[in-house]
Amino acid sequence: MPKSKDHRLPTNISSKCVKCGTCHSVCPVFDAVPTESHTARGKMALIEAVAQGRLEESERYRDYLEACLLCGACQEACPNEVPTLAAMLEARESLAGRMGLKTGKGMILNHLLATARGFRLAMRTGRAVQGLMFRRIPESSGLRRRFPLPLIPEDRTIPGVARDFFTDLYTGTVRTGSGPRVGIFAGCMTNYFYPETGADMVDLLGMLGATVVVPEGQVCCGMPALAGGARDTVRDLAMQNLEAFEEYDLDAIVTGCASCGGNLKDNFRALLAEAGASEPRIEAFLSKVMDINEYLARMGLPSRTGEGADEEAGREPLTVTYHHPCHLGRLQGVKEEPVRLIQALPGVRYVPMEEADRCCGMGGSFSIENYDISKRINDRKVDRILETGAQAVVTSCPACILHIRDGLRRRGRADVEVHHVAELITRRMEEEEVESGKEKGESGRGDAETRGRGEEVSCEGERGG
Amino acid sequence: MEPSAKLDRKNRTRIRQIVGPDHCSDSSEDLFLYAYDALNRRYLPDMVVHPGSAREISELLKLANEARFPVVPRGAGTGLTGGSLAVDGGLVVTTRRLDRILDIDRDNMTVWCEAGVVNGDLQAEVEKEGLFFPPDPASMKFSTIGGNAAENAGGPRAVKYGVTRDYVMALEVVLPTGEILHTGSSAIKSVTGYDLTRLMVGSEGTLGFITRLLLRLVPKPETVRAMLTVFPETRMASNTVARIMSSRIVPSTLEFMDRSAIDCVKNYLDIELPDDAAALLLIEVDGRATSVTEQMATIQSICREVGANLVRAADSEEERESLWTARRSLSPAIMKIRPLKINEDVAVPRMKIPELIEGVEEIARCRDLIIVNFGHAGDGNVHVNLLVDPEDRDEVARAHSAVEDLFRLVVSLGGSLSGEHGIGIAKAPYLAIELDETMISVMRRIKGALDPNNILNPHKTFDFDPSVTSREFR
Ligand SMILES: Cc1cc2nc3c(=O)[nH]c(=O)nc-3n(C[C@H](O)[C@H](O)[C@H](O)COP(=O)(O)OP(=O)(O)OC[C@H]3O[C@@H](n4cnc5c(N)ncnc54)[C@H](O)[C@@H]3O)c2cc1C
Ligand code: SF4
Ligand code: SF4
Repeated sequence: MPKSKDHRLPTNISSKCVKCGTCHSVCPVFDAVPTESHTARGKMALIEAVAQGRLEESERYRDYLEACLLCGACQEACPNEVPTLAAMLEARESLAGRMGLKTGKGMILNHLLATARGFRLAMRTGRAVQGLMFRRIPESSGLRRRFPLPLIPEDRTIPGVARDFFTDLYTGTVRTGSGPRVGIFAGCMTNYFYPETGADMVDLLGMLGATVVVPEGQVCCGMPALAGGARDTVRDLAMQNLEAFEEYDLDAIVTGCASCGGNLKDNFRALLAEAGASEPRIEAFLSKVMDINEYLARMGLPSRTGEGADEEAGREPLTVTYHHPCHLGRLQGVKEEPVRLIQALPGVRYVPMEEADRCCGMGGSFSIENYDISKRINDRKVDRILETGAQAVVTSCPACILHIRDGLRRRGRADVEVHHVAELITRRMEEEEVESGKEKGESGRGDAETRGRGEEVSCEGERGG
Repeated sequence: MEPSAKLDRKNRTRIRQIVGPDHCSDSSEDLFLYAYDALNRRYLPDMVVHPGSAREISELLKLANEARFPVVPRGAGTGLTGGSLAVDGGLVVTTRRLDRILDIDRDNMTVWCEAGVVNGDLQAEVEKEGLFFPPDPASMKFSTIGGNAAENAGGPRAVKYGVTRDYVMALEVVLPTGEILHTGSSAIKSVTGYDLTRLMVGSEGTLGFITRLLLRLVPKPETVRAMLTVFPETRMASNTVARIMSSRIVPSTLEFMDRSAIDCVKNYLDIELPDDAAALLLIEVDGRATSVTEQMATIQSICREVGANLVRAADSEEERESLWTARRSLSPAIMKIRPLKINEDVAVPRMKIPELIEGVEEIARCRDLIIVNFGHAGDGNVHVNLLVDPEDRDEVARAHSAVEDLFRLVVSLGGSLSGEHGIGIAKAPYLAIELDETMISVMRRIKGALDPNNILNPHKTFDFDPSVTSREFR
């Protein structure tokens, strides 16, 4: 395979690992397949051997490196603070420089993600042909493949490409309010597969009085490409995103995708600097980036607690549990906010889940390359979800939603709902409007605050789609 | 890579036939993955296999005796003394596939398990049955029962419950020559024949390959309560320990930290520590709820009488956890001082701890080093951590001299070079400081009787050979 000119070996950060083995106890992949290659310790040893020139970057080396969810559990547990994620991304980049990107994945990464148009085009094509290739599964929006496709195993349920993409439905300034000016970073999964999550975010932010903007020029955050080692590509994507969001004068940039958020916060600073953006520009962009949960918590949501209200109203609350996406809970440290938001929702009873912060097994392309392992990891997640007895599981990442839905379906439990936090909150708030509207007539309980929200919904809440 | 003369093509093929092609590898990648343990040194084996039964291991050992290549048992590779390293190449044999818990017997309170079961997994399983497996090395969530037995591992609970040795009742062992030996008995009392179970436990994989273990269990304690106490003088901590023991209370944990260790973790604690903190004890008591409450009260008054300047009991499980964060954050906190930590787990008689600490402080002064001490006050097992910068050659040299000073000090106090981590290659050069000629010669004769061709885990402990171990790569 061609060796690119600017192939760089990984640096020696992997040698910070002292081989204690602590990371074995937290790695979901090692738990499913207990072999040294499937641990951070093993990967650090291999990367070190490559960095020292003792080991070739072989196919087997690549397979071992890719047997990783990039979930960050090892890094969190490591008593020696080894930056395992950075070491693994660096090693993957070196590999890609050495061997080229994998065909299939490489093609998707380089040619599709590189331009927003390319990816859109691919998704449009996907939407047109998906009816031919997948049979739609009744009582859900999932698709299961009809004949062999290289990347999707037979028993896997994936969502259909949306009829209308989020960024087609919502472009530019989509809500005008008196509050802060908030830009939405959609992310590809939300944009192409779950536009309803994006729409919920728009509604929710609108209800809170924000001016909501969906900058036109935004593109993929590049996380899949970065994980595949295509750092050059991601540099360009980072720059395009910077430029897109600079177009607007924003107070906050909010995303509902844990992986995009993690990538923006953790990797964009370096990427943008490499791409030549000045420090003030980078700072102006990244200092505003936050997850939707963080934004809502910062805006003082929840403003009321739901518990007493349900008893008063004499209704059965929806039981909800929460799964912490690795890239939100662990990487961004946003753990309390979503739980507090859920706990405060009227009509909802929160039930905690064991191992709530354990990876669902998705890991981006990991689940494509290693679907069998991914399923085993996912089974454990599904077990924990079912043990709670909750009617719905809520999370904050479209990738987790996809994988958990797939897992529940495989286990014959598609009756358990899977939602994005934004969706749950929006739905509950809307239902509350109806409830309080009813009650207003009877008991006169609708206070000014609720009414205010109701008006905002009615004057701006038209959802296009 | 050079194919080693130790394993020619023909033997590699035979090995493959024994374990099956899916369970062995000699690819460079896999060899690098089994070149290290937690001692963090590197020796490449010639081949790695993951056999599925004692019978396969037996065949491998018979072949090794014919063809004369080294065989190195390996559990999780978390040993701190290099026991699982193939220092002279050869075949690394892991217990990865021997990972079944076979039979939990609630009435007899025993469990049969395979050697590759992770300690923490076993504990979780038996606790579901209301039972308890006490050995708790800090590595319990990622080290194997086989490795624990081979190193006779212990942890904080040793002060009350003893170490791994005290829980092994019977073993299935493949001898270096390939015969399968069954030691011990399912009866708690058994004096038939030599106690080969005890010979195997702690033999560091040099006398036999353990494949199955029968372990003794105890009832799970009803409650555990924790407290933390700080003293202005080290001697007060030792006196406290002595007085607790003589008041007929055996705590389930008695962890100790010296002044330098306290300085390291200060910032990780929610609690404000007094300025003159020379020693800290983390104490736990377990058992029936009523008696635990009583014992905690007694211990607290002892601490105050002796002169503690802080006594803090945890009232809830969360508070207990937060006290433990102090102990757990010690390791990473230490690493912030210097990148390299030389950890010597010496043991002295309990009441000699103050003399040990004073002696170590003196060594630190003379050799101009940073040394941090913590450990298990109840059984005199102290972790002496020498912190060095590996780039600073002079500091590294001074540290090595300090280690030798330390061992001489320990032996002069009637102590031992290693309380739990074993000898392996790391402590082998110092073995003669503690063991006399007769002892070493008896061990040699036992090894020779069981392993005439020196196949199983050669060049470890008394068989240490610097000309072999110097062939590591970095
Ligand atoms: C962070 C950390 C904390 C630790 N804390 C403690 C502690 O508190 N207390 C303590 O005692 N130790 C501790 N250790 C040391 C280590 O975890 C123990 O020695 C443990 O028992 C090793 O188990 P293992 O499965 O990793 O064995 P390995 O490291 O793989 O092997 C250890 C030795 O046992 C032999 N061996 C392994 N399996 C078998 C078998 N089935 N039959 C025969 N021989 C075998 C090997 O050849 C080698 O000589 C710690 C280590 C680390 C990294
Ligand atoms: S990132 Fe997650 S999957 Fe990858 S090695 Fe670390 S713990 Fe394992
Ligand atoms: S926990 Fe950290 S230092 Fe220990 S083996 Fe894993 S990566 Fe290395």
